[in-house]
Amino acid sequence: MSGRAGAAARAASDTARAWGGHAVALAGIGAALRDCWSGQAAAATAVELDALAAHIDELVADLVHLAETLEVEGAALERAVDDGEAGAAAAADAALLARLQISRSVDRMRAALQGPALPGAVVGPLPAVPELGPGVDAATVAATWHGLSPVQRSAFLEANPGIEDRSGLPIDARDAANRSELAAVLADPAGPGRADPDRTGALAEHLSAHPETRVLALDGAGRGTVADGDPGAAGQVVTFVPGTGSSMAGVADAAGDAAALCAAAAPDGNCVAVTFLDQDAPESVPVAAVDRERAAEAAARLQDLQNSLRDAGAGELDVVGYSYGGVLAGAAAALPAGLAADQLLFLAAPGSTVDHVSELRLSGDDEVPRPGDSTSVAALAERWDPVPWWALTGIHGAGPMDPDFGADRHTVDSVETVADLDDTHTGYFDPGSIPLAEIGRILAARP
Amino acid sequence: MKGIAVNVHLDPSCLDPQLDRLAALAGATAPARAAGPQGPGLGPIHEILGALATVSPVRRRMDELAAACAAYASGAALAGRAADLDADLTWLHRELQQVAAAAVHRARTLGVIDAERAADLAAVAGAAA
Repeated sequence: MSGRAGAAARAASDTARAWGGHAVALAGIGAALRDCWSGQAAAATAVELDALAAHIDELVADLVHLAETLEVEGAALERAVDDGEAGAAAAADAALLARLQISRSVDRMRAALQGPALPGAVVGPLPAVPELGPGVDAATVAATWHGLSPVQRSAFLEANPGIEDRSGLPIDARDAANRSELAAVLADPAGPGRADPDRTGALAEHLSAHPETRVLALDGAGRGTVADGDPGAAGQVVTFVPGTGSSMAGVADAAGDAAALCAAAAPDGNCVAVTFLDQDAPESVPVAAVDRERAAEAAARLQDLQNSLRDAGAGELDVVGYSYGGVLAGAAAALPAGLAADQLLFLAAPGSTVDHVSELRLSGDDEVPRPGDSTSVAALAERWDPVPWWALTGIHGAGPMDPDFGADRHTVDSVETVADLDDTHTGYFDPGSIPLAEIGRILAARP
Repeated sequence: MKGIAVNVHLDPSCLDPQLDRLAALAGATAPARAAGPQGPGLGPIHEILGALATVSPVRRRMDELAAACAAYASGAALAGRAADLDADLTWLHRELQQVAAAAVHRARTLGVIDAERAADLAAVAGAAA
């Protein structure tokens, strides 16, 4: 995305994200106000805050729609004008004009109309939005979404629960929808089916501290995925899959670890870190030691995430499965369609879910799954870290550090004192550490 | 007098930090401003207004695109949409400031009245019980 249209689209997206963040903050403040203030004066303030939140929601929806319009139809007109192609410019002009004429006021009027349009009416009712099944492909979702007006999109999201967490919608649209969902949860934390407030609260704090974050997924249980920038604009995207004990409640730490991986891989900063917390990670080591189901359950969501990153135009895609997260990443790569990744790194993983690296499948830009090998699958472990040794049990499949497994193996030894033995499984992300430097070398190398 | 609902509560130690957060948020929503559009194709009035006013980044970028597409119908539509958007952003910022100010005012005045009225009602209810 370049040129004037691209710059305008980015400005609209940035503004949408900023106001989405304001909405999240406002929801948190509103809920806190209710806890310490009640009565008529408080009720009047609550009504005003609710009205404001609704206005912000509308503005964000408009901005997201506008950003996409500028990125697609606006860029097409700009290209045609720059190239001096009169016919193409006229067609692009008509397409852009039609999109720009979609306004909230006209949309509302259409939405309010019931039944068939009256003869001679200037506008008719909004067509019903489609309900897409769970198996629908991302291209269909994308095409459907792009054709909808802002008001229709709200109805579309309601008619297709969770679709904003899947591949198909543009990254910024997913972020806006998930921020709106987070704001709704924060505004009414006692509502039915609400997620653990520790998770939603931690995410709200993270968004406040890191406004560039994109919320790529967020479900009712508080599971989700965040990126620390626009994956579509990055030369390299590292997806970090953490392990035991991870959840959205610890998003700050997990995202920090993911950022450390990116910094090690791309010192020039042209890297976006994605943190996959869209899983029910084992709460404890004993659970992680024997439970394969949790990894298997989340594998399809990791696969879908990677597909959406590829669709977004991200550059090189790397997946780092840490500890039990390695089991999850292995399970995703073992699915028939494989994992959209140029490189998979098992980091201190207790298993791979398969017997040999060739049973894993990775796909590049051409989207053709290929068997894994030592050029596309790597494994790294600290010599004294006990977790990778659990692979000897075979419960989670072959150990990625096993010479017979077939991955590119890297053993590091950073233990200098007995006290260091306590950190052998947690020190991989320490800035300046031996393991992190080695991880950087692996991720920087093009497969 | 039994059964009077006295659902009034005001805890300054809890309330004040939230009102501070609300005021800070209202301040933070001020759109970043830059010099207005100066590009060709926008017309003399727009140029004069652009020189005098400041605009949000999204409007400035859209105006630049509009200027490049000035020979097409979309050019005017882009400029119009950009101006509407700018007005929306300004309105939302001011509205949030007003809501924050009103909340502080109510908490300091009406909130206290609410609490006093509740205390009176509770006393009456207690006496009647």
